[in-house]
Amino acid sequence: MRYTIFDIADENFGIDIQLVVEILKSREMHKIPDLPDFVSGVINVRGEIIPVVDMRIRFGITEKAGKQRILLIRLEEDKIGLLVDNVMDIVKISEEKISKPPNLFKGFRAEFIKGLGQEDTYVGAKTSRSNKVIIILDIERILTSEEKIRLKSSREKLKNEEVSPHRRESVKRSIKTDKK
Amino acid sequence: MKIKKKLSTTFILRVLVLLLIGQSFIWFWSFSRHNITIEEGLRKRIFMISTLIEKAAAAVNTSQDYRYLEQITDGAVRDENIVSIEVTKNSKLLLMKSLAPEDGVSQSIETPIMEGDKKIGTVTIRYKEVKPDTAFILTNLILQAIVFLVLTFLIYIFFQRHIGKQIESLSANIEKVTLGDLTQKIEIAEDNEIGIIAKGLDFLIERLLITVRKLKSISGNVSAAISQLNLTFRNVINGISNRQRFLEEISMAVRKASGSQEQTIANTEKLRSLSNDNVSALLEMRAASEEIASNIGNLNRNISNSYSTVAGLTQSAREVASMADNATSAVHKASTSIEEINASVKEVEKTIKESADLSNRTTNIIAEKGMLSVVDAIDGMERIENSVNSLTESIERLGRRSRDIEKILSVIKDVTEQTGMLSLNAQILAVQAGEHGRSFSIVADEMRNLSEKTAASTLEIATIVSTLQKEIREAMDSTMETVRMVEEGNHVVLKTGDALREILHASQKSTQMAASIEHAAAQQAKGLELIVNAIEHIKNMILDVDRTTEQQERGTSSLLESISLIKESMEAARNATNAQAETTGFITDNIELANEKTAEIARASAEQQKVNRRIIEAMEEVMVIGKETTRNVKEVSLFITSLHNEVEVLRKEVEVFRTNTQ
Repeated sequence: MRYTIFDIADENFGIDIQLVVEILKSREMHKIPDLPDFVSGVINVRGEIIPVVDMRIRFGITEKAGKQRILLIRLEEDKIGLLVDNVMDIVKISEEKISKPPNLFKGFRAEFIKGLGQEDTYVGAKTSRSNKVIIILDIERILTSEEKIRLKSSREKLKNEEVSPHRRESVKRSIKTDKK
Repeated sequence: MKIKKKLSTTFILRVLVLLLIGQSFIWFWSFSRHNITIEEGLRKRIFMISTLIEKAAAAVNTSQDYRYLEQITDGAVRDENIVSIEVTKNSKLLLMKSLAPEDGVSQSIETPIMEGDKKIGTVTIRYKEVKPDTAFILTNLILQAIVFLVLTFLIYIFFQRHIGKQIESLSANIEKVTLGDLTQKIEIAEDNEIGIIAKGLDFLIERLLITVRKLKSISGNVSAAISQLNLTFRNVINGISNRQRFLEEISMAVRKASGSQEQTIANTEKLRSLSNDNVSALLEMRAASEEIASNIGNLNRNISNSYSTVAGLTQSAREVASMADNATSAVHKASTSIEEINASVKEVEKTIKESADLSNRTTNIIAEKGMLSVVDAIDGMERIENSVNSLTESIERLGRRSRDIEKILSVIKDVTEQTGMLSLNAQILAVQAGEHGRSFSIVADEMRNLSEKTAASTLEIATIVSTLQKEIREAMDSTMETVRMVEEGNHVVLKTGDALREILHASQKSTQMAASIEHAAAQQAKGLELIVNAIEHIKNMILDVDRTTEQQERGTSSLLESISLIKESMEAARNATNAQAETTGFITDNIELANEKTAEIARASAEQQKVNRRIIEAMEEVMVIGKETTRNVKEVSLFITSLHNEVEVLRKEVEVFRTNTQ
């Protein structure tokens, strides 16, 4: 299995590469009314409005990162952006090297963690990470079902608004004001 | 007269007290004696009774007949002193009789009843003690008192009749005498001791009376004399003090006179010194006029001489010439010495000039070279500053450039990151494409490697640039330091310039001063030259004189005529001068005379002064003596006064006695 490695607060996290859509530079995030509180904002990726979840906030880290990347992933049928510190690499981790995590690992709740793994062989150019533990995230559980429902409903709303040109304009205006 | 003080009373009282003590002693003795006798009688009686009863009891034992015993005891118990009688036999009460109740103090006598050697019973008799006989004591006392009173009365009567009266009259007379009455006479004609005493007293009083009378008269006389003496002495003291005062006044006056005399002497002295001055001036005047006269005489004589002999004149003219020659040589000498002075002055002038030149040169050096070098230094400093400034500018430019490089580097970094991301995306896509994406994956990998390499080299460049920037900053700092130092140097140079300017100023001033000194020296030289010239002139003139003397020598003969004329007028002048000298002499003589007189006055004044002083001294001595006399007199007066007082006291004391029978 191949995993995309990203890091948050110097901790390496892995996510199944099949779920990854794209890596984006951090860009302007728009705040839209009626968004659930766990969503930091929305971004526009080639005309597609995608909600972004700040992983630092999600993990309860208050300080801001110096560098930011957006990891665009597929969640069920929809896409969602994860705001992370950096996307490092793509590595291969064999299934037998993934071990079950303890209940609480480095302050992260076990429900997010699928397992703890180590890189098999080196794929990229960097060798320094070869012995580091990679926390493999169960991305399905990043959002609770309730959150998922709320996200979905808000997305529905957004889609509807997209249909009506009047609403869309108002959204745009709100984005503009936000820019200011 | 109090009773206590009376001799007779005290005597009688003492006799009475002795009598009383004796009587009471006798009374006490007789009383105690009486008591003892009674008691002893009682005991004897009781003892006899008890023996009688015992005999009776012993008889009863043998005869068993109680009657006899009964009779005896009945009789015995009737005795007023016996209280009870008890007869016991073999410790059993045989008989008991009592009449009086048992009260008060009682005593008892026990007698054993004997049968052969055996005691078969006892007889006990209790009896009262005899009470003292109060009636007897009272009568005794009363009797004694009566005897005492009678004796007292008798003694008093006798005493009073025989001694008391006489003593009383005697003491009354003595008391009167004590009070001062000497006219009393004691009239006791009896021929006993008191009569003798009275006679002796009479005699004494009479003697005293005579003495006091004498004393009285004497003291009166003495008092009168002394008071007279006192008066006289007071007069004497007054006179002495008056004399003293007068003496003091005189002394003061003399002193004042002496003071004014001193003033006079001082004035005279002043006058004398003034007149001395006058005299000296006059003497001078006289000497001058005499000299003039003598000169004139000389001249006259000379003229007469020249008149008589031209040769003489010629000779004198020659003398004159030789004198002129001497003068010339002297002038010459003076001239040479002055020239020497002149030479030295010139030398001084030269030195001054040199120093002035030197200071001038210094000034010039300072002004030209010093200032020029300062200006050069300033120029050089400016140039350095400019070049440093341009260096700073170029360094700054370099810094800017390096910052540009930084910007470019950041762009490159951005691009690299983008590329990396892109490669990651490409990899993701390649993986997701599976088998189809394998070849694409290789490309993506390459891309990624490339981007990483780029990133590494960018990092390197960045570090290089940052070191470069650091170095530039350092260079900048050192340049700044240089700029600062240059500024400091500039400052120092400017300061040096200032200092040089000051030096220049000072040296200019010194130059000026040298110039003025030079000027002064030149003036001095000029003055000296003038002097030299003048001396030269004098020399010339003297030479001229010399020459003319020679000419004169030649033309003496022509003088003759005029000389005769001169002679005549000279005569007149001589006469006049002589007359003047004479009158001056006169005046001088007169003034000298006056002066002498003044001196005499001064001398006389001094003498008088001396005399005055002596008078004052004598006066003072007199005054001292007078003071002493006064003191002595006062002392004597005091003495007399005290004597007078004493005599007065005596007189008063004598006065106490009455001497006249009135």
